[in-house]
Formats: sequence, structure tokens, C-alpha cells
Amino acid sequence: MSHYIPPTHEHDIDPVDGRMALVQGQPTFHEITEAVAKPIDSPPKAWWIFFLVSVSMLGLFGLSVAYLLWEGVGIWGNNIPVGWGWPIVNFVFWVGIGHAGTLISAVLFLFRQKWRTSINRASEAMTIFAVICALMFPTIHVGRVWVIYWPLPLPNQMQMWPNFRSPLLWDVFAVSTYFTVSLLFWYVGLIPDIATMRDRAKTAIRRFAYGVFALGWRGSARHWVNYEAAYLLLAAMATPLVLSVHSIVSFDFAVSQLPGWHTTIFPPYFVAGAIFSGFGMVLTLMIPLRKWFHLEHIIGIKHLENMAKVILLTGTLVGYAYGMEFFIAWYSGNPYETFVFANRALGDYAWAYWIMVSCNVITPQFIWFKKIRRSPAALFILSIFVNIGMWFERFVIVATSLHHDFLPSSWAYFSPTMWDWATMLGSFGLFFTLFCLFVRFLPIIAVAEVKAVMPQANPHYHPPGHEDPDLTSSASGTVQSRDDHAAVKTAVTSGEESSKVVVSKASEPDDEDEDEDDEDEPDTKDEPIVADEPEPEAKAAPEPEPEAKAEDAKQEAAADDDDDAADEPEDKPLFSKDPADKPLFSKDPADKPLFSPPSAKKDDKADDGDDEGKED
Amino acid sequence: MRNTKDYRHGYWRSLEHRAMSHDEEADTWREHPPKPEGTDVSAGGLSRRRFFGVSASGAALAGAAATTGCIRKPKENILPFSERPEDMIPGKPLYYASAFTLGASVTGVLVESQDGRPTKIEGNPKHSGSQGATCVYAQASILDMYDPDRTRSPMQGEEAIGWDVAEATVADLVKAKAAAQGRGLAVVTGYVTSPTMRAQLAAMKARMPEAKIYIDDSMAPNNAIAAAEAIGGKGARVVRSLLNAHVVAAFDSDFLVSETDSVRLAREWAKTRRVTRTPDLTKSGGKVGGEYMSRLYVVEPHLTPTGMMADHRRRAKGSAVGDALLALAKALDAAGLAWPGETAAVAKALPAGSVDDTTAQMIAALAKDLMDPANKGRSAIIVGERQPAWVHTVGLLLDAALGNLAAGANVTGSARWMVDAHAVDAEPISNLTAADTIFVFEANPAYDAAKADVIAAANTVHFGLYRDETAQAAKYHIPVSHWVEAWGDTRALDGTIALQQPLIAPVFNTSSSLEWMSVLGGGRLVDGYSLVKFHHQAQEGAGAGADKAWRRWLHDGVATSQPREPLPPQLSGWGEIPKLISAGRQPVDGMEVNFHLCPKVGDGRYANNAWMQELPHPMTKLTWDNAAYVSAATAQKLGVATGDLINVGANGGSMQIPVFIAPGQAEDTISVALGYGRKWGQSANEVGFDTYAIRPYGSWFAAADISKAGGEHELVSTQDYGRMKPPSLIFDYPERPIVIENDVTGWAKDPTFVEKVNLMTRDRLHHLWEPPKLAGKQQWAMSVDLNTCTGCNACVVACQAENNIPTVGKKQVSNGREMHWIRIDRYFRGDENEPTAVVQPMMCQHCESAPCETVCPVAATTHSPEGLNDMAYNRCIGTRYCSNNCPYKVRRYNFFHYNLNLRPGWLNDDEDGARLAQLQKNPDVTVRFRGVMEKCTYCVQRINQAKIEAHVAGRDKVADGAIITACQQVCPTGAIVFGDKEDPDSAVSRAKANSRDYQVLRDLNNGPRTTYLARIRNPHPELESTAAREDEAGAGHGEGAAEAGHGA
Amino acid sequence: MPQIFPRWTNNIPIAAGLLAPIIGIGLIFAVWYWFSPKYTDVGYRPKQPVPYSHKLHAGDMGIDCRYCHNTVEQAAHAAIPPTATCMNCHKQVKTTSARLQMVRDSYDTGEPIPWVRVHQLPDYAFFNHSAHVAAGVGCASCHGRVDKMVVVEMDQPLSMGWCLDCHRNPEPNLRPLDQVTNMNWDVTKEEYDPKRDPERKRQVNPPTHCSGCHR
Repeated sequence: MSHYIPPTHEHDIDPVDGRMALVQGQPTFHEITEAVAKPIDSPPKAWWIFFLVSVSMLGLFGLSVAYLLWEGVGIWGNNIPVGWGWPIVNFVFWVGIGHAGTLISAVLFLFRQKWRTSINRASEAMTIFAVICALMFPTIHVGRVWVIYWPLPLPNQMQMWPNFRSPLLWDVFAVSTYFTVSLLFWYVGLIPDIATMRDRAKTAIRRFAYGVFALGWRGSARHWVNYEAAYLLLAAMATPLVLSVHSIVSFDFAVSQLPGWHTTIFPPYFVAGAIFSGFGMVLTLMIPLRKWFHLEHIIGIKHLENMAKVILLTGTLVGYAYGMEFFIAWYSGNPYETFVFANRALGDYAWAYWIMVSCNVITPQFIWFKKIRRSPAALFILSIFVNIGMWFERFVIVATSLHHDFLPSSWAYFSPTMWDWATMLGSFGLFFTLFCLFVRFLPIIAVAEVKAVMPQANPHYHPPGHEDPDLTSSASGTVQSRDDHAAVKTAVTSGEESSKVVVSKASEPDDEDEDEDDEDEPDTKDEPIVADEPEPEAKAAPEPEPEAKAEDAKQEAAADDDDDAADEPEDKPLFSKDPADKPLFSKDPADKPLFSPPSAKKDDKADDGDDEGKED
Repeated sequence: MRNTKDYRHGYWRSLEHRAMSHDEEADTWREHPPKPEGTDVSAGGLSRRRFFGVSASGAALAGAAATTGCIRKPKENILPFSERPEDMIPGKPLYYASAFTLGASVTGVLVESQDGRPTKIEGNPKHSGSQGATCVYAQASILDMYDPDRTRSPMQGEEAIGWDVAEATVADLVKAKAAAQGRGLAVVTGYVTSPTMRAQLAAMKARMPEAKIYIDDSMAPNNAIAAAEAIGGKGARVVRSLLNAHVVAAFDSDFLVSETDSVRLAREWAKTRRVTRTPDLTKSGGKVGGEYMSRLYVVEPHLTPTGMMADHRRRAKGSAVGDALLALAKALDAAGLAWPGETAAVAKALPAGSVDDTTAQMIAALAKDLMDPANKGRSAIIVGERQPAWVHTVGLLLDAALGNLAAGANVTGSARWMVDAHAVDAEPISNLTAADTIFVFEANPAYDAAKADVIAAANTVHFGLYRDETAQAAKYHIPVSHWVEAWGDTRALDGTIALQQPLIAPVFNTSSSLEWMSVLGGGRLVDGYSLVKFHHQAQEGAGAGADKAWRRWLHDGVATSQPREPLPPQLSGWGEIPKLISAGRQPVDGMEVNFHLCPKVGDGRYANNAWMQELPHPMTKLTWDNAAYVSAATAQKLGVATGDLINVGANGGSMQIPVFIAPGQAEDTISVALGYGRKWGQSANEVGFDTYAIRPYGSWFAAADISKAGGEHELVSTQDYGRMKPPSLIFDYPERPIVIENDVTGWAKDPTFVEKVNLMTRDRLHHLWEPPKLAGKQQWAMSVDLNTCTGCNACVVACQAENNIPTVGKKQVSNGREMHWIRIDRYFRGDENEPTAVVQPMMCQHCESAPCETVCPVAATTHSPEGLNDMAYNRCIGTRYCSNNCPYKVRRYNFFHYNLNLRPGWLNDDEDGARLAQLQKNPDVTVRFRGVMEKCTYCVQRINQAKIEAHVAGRDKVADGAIITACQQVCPTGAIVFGDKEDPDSAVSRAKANSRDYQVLRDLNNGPRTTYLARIRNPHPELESTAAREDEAGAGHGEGAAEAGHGA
Repeated sequence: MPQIFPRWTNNIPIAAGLLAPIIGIGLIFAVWYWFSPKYTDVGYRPKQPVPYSHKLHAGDMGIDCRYCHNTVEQAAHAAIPPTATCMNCHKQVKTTSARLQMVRDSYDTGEPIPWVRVHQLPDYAFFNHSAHVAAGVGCASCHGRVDKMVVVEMDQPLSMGWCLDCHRNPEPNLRPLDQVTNMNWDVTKEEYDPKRDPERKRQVNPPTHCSGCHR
């Protein structure tokens, strides 16, 4: 099956809201699905190379951890006074990387930033993997890893509880909570797409594996309703975690009394730095990925540009924090504090400090230039510098503060050993291996969510053609639909859509809710949003699904097979009527509305059948 | 003088820092210690130690997988005695009195025995040479007993031979020599303090009149003895006491730490420095003199602990120290000193000594002090053992003229004459040129006297603990017992007799040197008990009470009934002085190399003692090495920096040695320590550089050719890293209130000066967390008097022995991983060439609101109701967070399983040796495993022991003084006081009531329980006072403090 | 296409979601109980090289504990008696018993009898018998009714939590100082108030902080 390869540098306008289209090249929903699913079916060569490199680095990680367990933490360069060396540097670095995913998926979601949809899946995956890497380090850096469970409040014969005043303990709770919620959030978001993958699967094993994780998803209205509720709740839960996790990581330092650590600015500064580094890593990952996987149309320049802007903002915040630390050090008159900062900039680790400053403060300033922030190559290079800079930031915080603290007699210099290097590189191996596997087996774009922000998903989208593109065969349909888009574009510019909004709105109250109570909530929530915002561009997230595009007969069949094959003939027409008359819910599991009214009338029929088939 | 303003910012730790306040080029202050690429413990392949590491980590898994049967600890047997020895209660330590000798010094000791294992050495309060304390060497010598390098059987060349063969061989050799009247027989021994051994040697002399005895002992006061004998005749000795000294002038003498009788002298001197009341200028007429606090003047080539303690110190070449003394003699003469009797002519005829201006100033002030009538008979001119005999004679002359040197029982003076009637009639080892049979008893002439050829040429039998250089050159090597395994006796210079008794049967079935000497003396091997007991009972007369007296001697450790009253010698040799001067005075014009006994390995006899090797040098903080100390100016002249190798040519030999730029070093000299560069021993081998190669035997300095050699050597110093003040035009900040010092005048003017240096006033300090409730009936606390702490390191080793602290090796030390619970911080102040220095022992401060406790995630370190900062090793998971948050950085971490590996590489091939080393461990203290944090516990095992004893006796509280921590016990100057601070009458409360009492880093509001008494200097009013500068600076800080921000 | 999963599998996620916490908590409590000395150590009864019966000696014949364990009042260890102590009697009694052969051999040769340790504390825990005896804690409180044991076994877990239970509330385990070795003195039945005991010179105040037992 051929799939759509978009032309580059195309600047498509969203036919409905008139802004730059988030997905370039006016693909159909089906083409989106194909574009995302293709690499899973047959990964590009680059994947194999990258995977092999990653796995060998993972082997290095295994080796260094095994040697560590054999010998003890003395294999690293840690000493007294620098009790925390690279392991904690790496820990904070990876936790920071793990920040962007939740920010993109939860915070941007709550703020209705449509552009997040192209990158949120991969960012969340990145978060999960980065937090896994991060969790490795505090675990292995302790002297007696075989009793690592002691910080957990478990009952024991010693009648000993952990010390709840220790920031390390807060860290255990913060990071593990963050990990759990991020994982759940990621997984919940994946369910519709996993169902798509299940339905596309060609082998029994894949079908089984995807089937297990799809949790029987068929895309019924009830599924969507529950899904939306769960997603929203998780987003709401995850948002405070974005602030809390790195604030608490910063408490590891800020609650101590070490000059250079004991700083009130640390929590916001760490959060800003984490977002900064997280977006840096997203760029590092996405720029090659979109190229190798031919996703330039989905992860467009606009996405990169938006991320670059976040980097610019947070990088500048971080730079402000650097300056403020110095100001406070001077202003406090505290000799230890003043010394530590003077020593940072001018002392033994000045080289690290200036690498940090140039990478984190100076590099992002290039983003002011439009040319640079719209150039994937430039952004890629820039993102590498951001990563390096943020690693050094953690190094500077950990090493320079510790190596010269209060009593000069205990001062020493920290230098890493080969095992420090091996463990750090190995953690990158772990991260990239996991990421490669993710890229290989799961849709790296949140297909359902991307579709929801495409013009077709807008209720006001009115393809000019008479024929439903989704009913045509894939090859001709592609051509047709693109024509349709062009027609819509003209329609949009002529301002036809406003009346359609009313129509759309009016139709909704008709959709009576006959189902369970739990469906009320999304219903009531959605309504005012639609009602309040007649402007198309404000519709962003809560727009109901525009149409039942049974874009791919095979996929459709597969989905139905899963549920109840007998329903298929009856359902099909319902889902494939005139787009203007759009059914609110798609049968296609990948096509999902964001905040969809839960009890769309037309859907109910299909759902009833499904539900009867499923429930007893 | 340099601009003192530059130095207001005070302390610096090494020249690298110091240079920084000049804002010189940035390159020089980046001294990076070597990078720890890899680790030394990883070198040995698969070993049992590694196996333990893994099995430990597997234990949790095993536990998880196992059934209940496997969770049980492995079966353990209890093996009770068949018949329990008298007095022994299993698990209760016993203490046996014994004595430790080093050179001519004797320290009475109590050796702790744990179920038959001697584990720790403490001072014997009843012995004059100890008075309850010991030197660092005595502390460390217990480790030698368990040294796996000890030879385990007699050897002929490389071959092990049986004990019977060895005994027959020695007997035959002696028999043959006895037949020849001893012709061609040479006996080489160290300085002999043992009366029994002296008797054996005398008996040998009687049997074999032509046999010769040679003394090879660099740690004995050979020059002082030579001088005393030159004036007082054979056996004449001078014994010093500083109890009443107001003014002490040390000429190249480290009498506080490394010279003869240093423990006793330090203890006595400390009594004159332990000022408890704030000086009152109104009462003393505006003058605080030696009667309030003694004053110490020092002239020396390199900075020693004594120089660090000095009120005034001047640098001089080793060869020019005598000149300073001559200058003093001239100054005193000019001031009208009344020379007694026949000495006047000699004194008037003394040549003039040439000294530089600053030294001349000091000499003038010193002369004034000495001439002060209040100080008549209350001063001491102490000439160091490294100075040639003529300098000693001049010193004795001055002492005599100043009324310090009394004959007979007069102890108001600082010294007295006496006669050592049974001194061995011996020659120095340098006279040994040829012999056909040589017996070497625990001496090492092949190493320290270049006698390897003579040794190898003869039929040599070496008796010693180790197969050292002499043993390797000798035909036979016979291992002997360690002094803890042997019977013996000692006679201190002041005549005190102490007995040595064994605590354990010889581990390797050896006999002692004394026992082997009985073959020489009597023809057959007699057991030491009989020898010693017979000798002393013969002395006492074996009356009815003899056995009782013997038992009392053994119990007390001193044989008080022995005659101690000195015999006054005939002082007939004053007239010899000019002759001695003209023969011995050899000024060195160009570069000079001078040698000193290492305060760690001595003359090399502790080179294989890992504790001593790992000990940081008291002043330079070097470990596992020796180096050529040079001044910054001389280094610049030579074009070298720390770590650069130089060629040193002297005495016809030459060697390479790395340079260490040492503050306080005299110009145009290098000072090198003896005792390194060994070619044997797991700890000693290849450590440091053998400086005997260029030393003229018996002389302690020589002219030298010195040039840069190219190449570097890694020197590991535990404290010289980084600068206290980074170069900055923007930042300026007040001095850190770390060590506080003042002079007596400054203290008198401002009794609250210790408060002024804090950055914040007490009322502005707040706690982050609520401090723990301290409900205990007693609150433990410690006080350290910096006025008397000499930095001698005895506490460090005592702590190591008491608390099972492992050594880690040079590489680990280079990465800051040494495990010592006490770190003696040393700071310099002032001019880089003539700095003043101060030490501050730093151990866990037992903070009341301890920053380590709040951050531990598993509550492994918590606070006891009695104010101890407890550390539960088995709860520790090893996050190292506590160490990060400790502002004093006194927590030490087991990065590897050091305790299974006392010295790197042991276990790989020497299971027996490892087991042997474990026998030294104190069973009352947990042996820590890898991955846990540890630190000073205030010897909580001793606290608990005392508490349990009190509770069993029905008392709630422990009496003051019942708990003596290991560091307190050993401290020669009594600088450390421990006890209950809630009890106003306790020693520690009284110490803390002193107005000098301060907390280190008080601004952090941790409430440390260990506090310090500020160092007070007592400068001569007419000499420029460094402490006055401090006072001025301190006052400035006081104002700054009010402005200071939060104290973190 | 056919169904991949049978209908009942719909219940798995719900069931898993409900059961996982229960299993997890159950596992924790299972480890807490079954891996603790209360379960693993109590009842440990190793075979001793000499079939010495405490029931016979301490129970039936009523020999005081301190006759053999005579260091208990002075030292941390309640030392296992030397062979000589056994032979005080067995020179006269049962002089030919085959079961005592090892004791006689030990007495003759000086070789110790390899008794097997029953009450094992870890090396980092420091227990002191004398302090507990002086406080009036009965032997039986920790060792159980040794006078009824033919072969000695562990009666109490000797775990840290078990120690702490008593250290936090010692009074139920205290008895008159002259009843310490009395096996028949039942702490649960006798009325005893240590605070009113004139024989006690001090009231117990057992440590509950780390260094009380760990050094």
C-alpha cells in the first residue's frame, strides 16, 4: 500500500479556522494513519542502525551496573566532600528531560494548544523512558543497593520507618508518583491508537499483543466518553506534578544547608530548567524522527517553532535564575555563598560553568531569529547544545557546591572515572533502546488526536465535493479529498462557516442522553464551550468528531470484527453520510473527538449494538 | 614585611592558596589532585573480597527466595574454655601494664586485651614517661604485632629453616666466638633501655671481652648524650622537665612531638599553656608574661608541630641553628648574665653566631625574657637532637648559667643532671667496618647506616620482626617477638623502671631479642620471664616480699622501688666546649639538605605500618610519601613546583625526590624525612624515597647540590586543595569563622573576642527543623583546647585502633576517601615564608540540630537523648546525603569494602595474614561494611560501657572522668576533654566556661557539642605580633557580621 | 475476523485493578510476618554436641542459672560455662556415662566443646546481660522456660522490634531483683510495681535510641 508523502515546505491553511494548518499537505485521515503506522510495519534502515547502537550502549550500562554491584560505588569518582557525583547529576538530568512530556501532554492539553497533538505521544514516551533512566541512578548510587527498599514506608520487624523529613524521601514519592501518572496518562492516550494497530495487525502475535493493551477498545461512544473523562482527569492530575516533581527534586539541594544548594530560587528554576531541557530533548528526538519516518507534514515546522519558543522562554528564565543567584550571593553578604558563586564562575570548575552558561543562556537566544527557529537542522544542533548545557547545569550544581564548602581543609576535586562515563553513556543506551522499541511498536504520533485537530474534524469543515471521500477507494479518494480541501479553503475565506456553527450547536441538544450518569459530565462540560465560542479558531479541542470516515474498509472491518461483525452492514451507512450531517462519533478507533458530546443520537444505534454485544 | 592588609583575609592552607591573594596568574592555583581513574582495589582479579561484595548484594535475593531455613543465620559454635583462666570474663577486656620504648624514650602503657587478643594501647598514668598518654608510635605499634609481613620462621638466605636449626646455629656461632674471646664478633642493637638486656650485654662482654657492641638507632638522642657525656663524663644525661618553665626556647627541637620523652615534655609544657582564666591587665600591670602562660621561641629549618605551637618562630638552616644559639649566648652575656664558675671563661670565648635581622630581633627579645628575674631558673634552652653535640653543649652552658640545670634532686629548674650507670658501652654503628660474625638485634644498619656490604660479608644473624634490608643481606634471619608478646623491662632517662609483660603467646612461636641475647650472655636460650624476674629480684634482693613486689610491679607497670634518685655527675667538661665547636661547626654556604625523623614512620621502623603510612603528616598533610620540603622562594629559584622531581647530591650520593613547597621552610634548604623508599613490605614497598642514600651517618644536615630533574611524582596531601579566595574583583567577603586565635593582650582587652568573628548574632539564628528533644540525664560534650593541641596525630591513630578504622591506600586517599574519624585541620596565616600556623582537630561535632540527621531518608543517623549523633551502620543505605549536608565534612564513607582489605592486595594471596589483621579489631565496635557512612561516635562503646557499669551499680549517672574517649586518653597535652556538660562541675563544663570557648561555624546554628578553646599566643611585647593582626581583623569582622545575611 | 479474546477477558483489567493492590499489600504483610525472626527464629533448636538437658539440671534439680552462666551479672555475655564447671559435679556423678564422654575428653585435653549457639544476635547489635539482670529482667523473659526445655530452643524472636517493645514499656517484664533467675516467677500473675520496690536503687530507663544497641 502506498502512503502519502507530503510535499515539503507547503504552507497549508486550515480551511476552517484560517490559521496555518497543523498538518501540512491536506492528508486524509487515512493517510495520517498510514503515515504513522508505516514505520511500524517496516522500519527504516536508520532505525536498525540506531537501535543496534542503542542496544550496545545499553549493554555498557548493564556491564557498568554489574561491576558497580560487584565492587561498590568506589568505582566512580565520588569522594568526600563530593558525595554525589555523576549519578545524581544524571538523575537530575534525566528527571529534567522527563519533564517535557507531561508538560506537553497535560498542561498544553488543558490550555488547548492544538499543536501538542503531533508531539505529545513521543514526548510522553520520552518522559517515561527518561524517568526510568532517572530512577536507575538514585537506586544504583546508594552504597547498599540490596536494601534500597528501606526508604519505602513498609512495616518491618525493626519497627523502623523512613525519615519523613528527608528530601530524598520526598523525592522517592514525587518521582514515583510522577512516573506512575505519566505512565497511566501515556497508556490511556495510547488505547485508541493501539486499537488501530490491533486492527491493522497482520500477524496473530501482534494482534494478540496489541489486543491485550487495547483493552477491547472499539471506539464506541461509551468508550470515548470514558476515555475522555479519564484523559481529562489524568491531565488534571498530571499538571500539578509538572510543578511538583522538579520542585521536589530541587529540594534535595535546596533543603540542605550547603552554600550553592540552599537557595529559595531552586524550585522554579529547576522547573524552568526541566522544561527547557525536556523540550530540548524532544527536539533532539523529533527532528531526525520526522525526517526518517516521513512525518514532516504532521510534525511541521510550526511545531518545531513552537517548541523553540518554549525553549527560548525557559532558557531565558534559567539565565535569569543564574544571574539572580549571583545577585543574591552578593547581596546576602554570606561569605560561603559568595565564595561558592565566585568559585563557580572563576574557580576550578569555571570551565563547566561557562559551558553551562553558553549552552543554556546564549544558545537559545538564536531562536529570536525566525530563520533559525524554522530550520530543523539549526534547531537540532541547538537542541544538542541545550542538552549538553542542562547536563552541565546539574554538574555545576552538584560538583562545584560540594567540592568547596565550609571548611577549606576538606576540599577536594572531583573527577569522573571511566565507570562514570560508562554509566552515563549506558543510561543513554537505556533511553534510546526504549525509545527505539517504542518507535518500532507503537504509533509515535497520537493519531486519534492529530485527526481531531485536522480541518476535517471541524464541524464546520465542508468539503466542496459531493462525494464522501471516505467512501471512495483509497487511491482515488486521496485525490478527491485533496480537491475537496481546496474547495473548503475557498469556503472558509468567504466566511460561510459561521452559520454552520449554529447548526452544529443546535443539533447537539437534540442528542439526548439516555445512557448512564457518568456520561453527563462530559456532556455538560462540552456544551458551554461550543456555545461560547462561535469563532472557529476557538474551537480547538472540544470539537466533536466531524464525520464517520470509514476511511479504510479493512480497518473498519477489523474494528467491527472485534466487536460484533454482524453490526457492520447496518453501521456503515450511518457513519458515512454526508459530512455536513456528520455523526458525532466515529467508528474508527483512531478518529476521535476531543471533548465529544457523549450521547450523539446517531451513534447510539451503533453503540447499542456494540454494547449489547459486549455487555450482557 | 608584606602589606598585612593582604593577609587580613586570613587563613590559607597551602601556598597555592596563599599565592592567590596576590591575584597572580590563574594557572598556578589550579592544583588538581590526580584523577582517580580506576581504583587500586580493582587490580587484583577475583578475590574473596570481591566475592563478599557480590554475596552481600545477593543476600537480599537469597532471603527473598529462601524458605525459613535459609533465612536463619549460619550455624555458629561457641567454644568455651575447658578451664577458664583466672580473672577472665569472656567479653570483658583486661588491661595489662607494660612499656613501650622508642630510642631512649620509654612510655608506660596499659595494653587492652580482648579475650586474649591485645587490641589497643593506652597510656599508663603511673609512669612518668606517659602520665596516661602515649605518642603516636606507641599507638600504632599494636598493628605491627598483627603485621602479616612478619617473618614466620627462621630463614637461612631465602630458605626457611627450623627453630631447632636456628637455635643450634646461633649457639654454635656464640660458642665459637666465646672460645675466641669474642674476637671478630659484633653485636648491633638499637638504643638499649632494658636493664636486663644491658646485663646480658655486660655478661657477654665479660665472657667475650673483645666482642664489640654497636648502637644503630637514629631515634635515640645520640648528640644530646654525646654532649652530656662530654661535660659530665660517661653515663651523664640531662633530663628535662617543663613543669615550671616560663620561657622555652627550642633550637631545632621538635620536643613536643617527635623527640625523646616528647609525651612527658608535651604534657608538662601543656600545663603551662592551658590558660583557664581570662587575663586581667589591670591586675598584672598591663603585662601578661610567662608566669601566666609560658612563652615558646623556636628556631628551626622546617615547620614542625613545635614550630607551629611557637609564639615566635624563626627559620634557619639546620647548620645555622647553632649560630642562633651562639648569638643568644652573646646577647645574654651582653645583658650581664652571671656565668657560674669555670664556665665564664668558656662563655666569654664563644664565637659569635651570625643571624639575620628578624632572628636577631627575636634573640634580643628572648634574651630579655631569659634575663627577667621572674624567669630565673624557669626557662629551658632545648637543643634538638638533630643538632651536633657542640650546640647541645652551648645549650647546656646557657641552661646552667640561667639556673635551669640543677644537679641532683632539684626539680625547680627545667633540667637536671643524672648518671645512667649501666649504659651500654658501645660504639656508633659507623665504626663497624669489618667483623666475621655479626648479630643484629632489631636494627637495620644495611638500610640506615649503609652497612649492607659489611653485613653480607660476615656470618650475620639478624633478629627482627621483618625480613628487612639487613635481614636480606644477612645469612640468617630469625624472627623475634613483638614487645607485646615478650617479657622485658625498660629504664627511662629519668630512671623509672617499667616492666614489659606479654599479653599473648608469640603468634609465630618466636623468642624475643632479649631471650636471644641470653645466648650471648649465658650461652643458652633462657625464657624472658626468668631473665627479667631474676635480674630485678637480684637487684632488689630476693627477700620474703620479693614475689609480692614483683606482682605489684607487674600490676602497676612501674617498679617504684628501683632507685630513681639521680646520681650527679662530675661536670668537668665545660672546657671542652671550644674544642667541640671548632671541630663540629660546619656552616653550609650554598644549598643545604637536612634530614629529620618522619613524624609518621620514624627512622623507617614504622614504614610497614599502614596506619602510619596513611596518617597525614602533621604539617604538610602528606600521606604515603616523603618529599623534599622547600620554601616558595627557593622553589622559584630552582624552578620547581610541588610534585616536580629534583636531583639532590650530597655525601657522595645522589637521589631524586619530589618537591613539596612547604610554608615556613628556611631558604636554601630542603628538608627530607628518613624512613621511606623501602624495597620490602606490603605497605612500605616503593613508598617514598630513600634519603639515607645521601645522608652522612649520624649527621642531620649536609651541603647539597640541588637541581631540577624533570619529571613528576604524585604527592598526596589530604588538605591542600583549592584556594580559600578565588580571584575576583567583584566579590569580597569576611573571613570564615573557622579557627579563632588571639594573643593574650587581645584576649585581655576583649574577653568576648570569640563572639566577634561570627557572621551573625545569636538571636538572629533560627532552625529549619525543630531540634530534637534532649531528655537524657547526662549530655555528652567535648572541648578541644587549641592552645595545647600540637597536631601530633596520636588521637588519629588511637581512634583508628579503637574504632576499627581501615586504611585505604594512597590512591584512595588521593581521591579524598581516607577513613580517619579525626581530621587535624591545619591552617596557615600571614606571610608565606614566615607564616603562623594553627591546627584544629575536626571530628563529628555532634550537632544538636544536626544537618545530617534531617536528610537521611532511612533515619540511619539520629539523635540520642544524651546529645549523641548516633549512626546505625546497619540502617545506612549509603546515599551520602548526610555527608553532603555536613558542614564539617567529618563523615567518612566506605566506598569499597575496606575492612576486608586493610591494605590493598592483602587477601589476594594471604588468607592467614588477613585473619591475623582481623585480630586487632575491637569487638565492641561494629566493623563497617562497604556502602555505609561512618564517623566519630564520641566512642559510644565506652560511654555505654560506663553507663552500664553505673546502672549495674545502681547509679543513674556516670561519674565525671569515668568515660575517657580514645582520643582524649592518648592526647599527650590533654587538649581533649570529654564529659557531661549538664554537670557544672565536670571537666568539660569547666572547659566550656572558658571565655575562649567557641563553636566552629556557629552561624549555621547546628549547635555542635564539640567546641574549641581559641588559640592564644603569648608574643613578646616588643616583637611584632601576628595575633594582634588577627585581633584587628576580627574586630572588623564583628562589624561586618551585623550586616551579614542569612547564615544558611 | 474472529474474536481474539473471549468475552470473559473483559473482566481481567477490572479484576487486575482491584486485585493488584490487595496482592501487593498482602505480599508486604506476608514478608513482614514470614520473613521476620518471629517466624524464622523462634523454635530454633539445634542439636548440641553433648545432650545436656536444662530441664534436668535447671528444672528438676533446680540449679540456679548463675551457677553455670556465672558472668551474667558482670559482663555482656552470659558465658557458656567452661568444661571445668561441668566436671565440678561430674567428677562424682555419672562418671562413666557415655553421653558425658565428650565432656571428660574436653576436661582432659583442654579442647573446648563445640556448643552450638542458639541465641544469635547480629554483630552490629550489642546486648549486655549484666544491664538487664541488674534491671530485673528475668531470664525467662527472653529465654523462655529453659527449665522445661530438654534441648534449648529460641523462645522469643530477639528481633529489633521485639526488643523495642520492651524497651518502650519495660515494666511488665520487670520483677524483683532477687527473682531474676526464678523460672517460676510469672510476670503475668505476680503483682509487682518496680517503682515501689525499695530494693531498686534506680528506676530503669532503657534506651530506645540507636546507640543504645548499635555502636
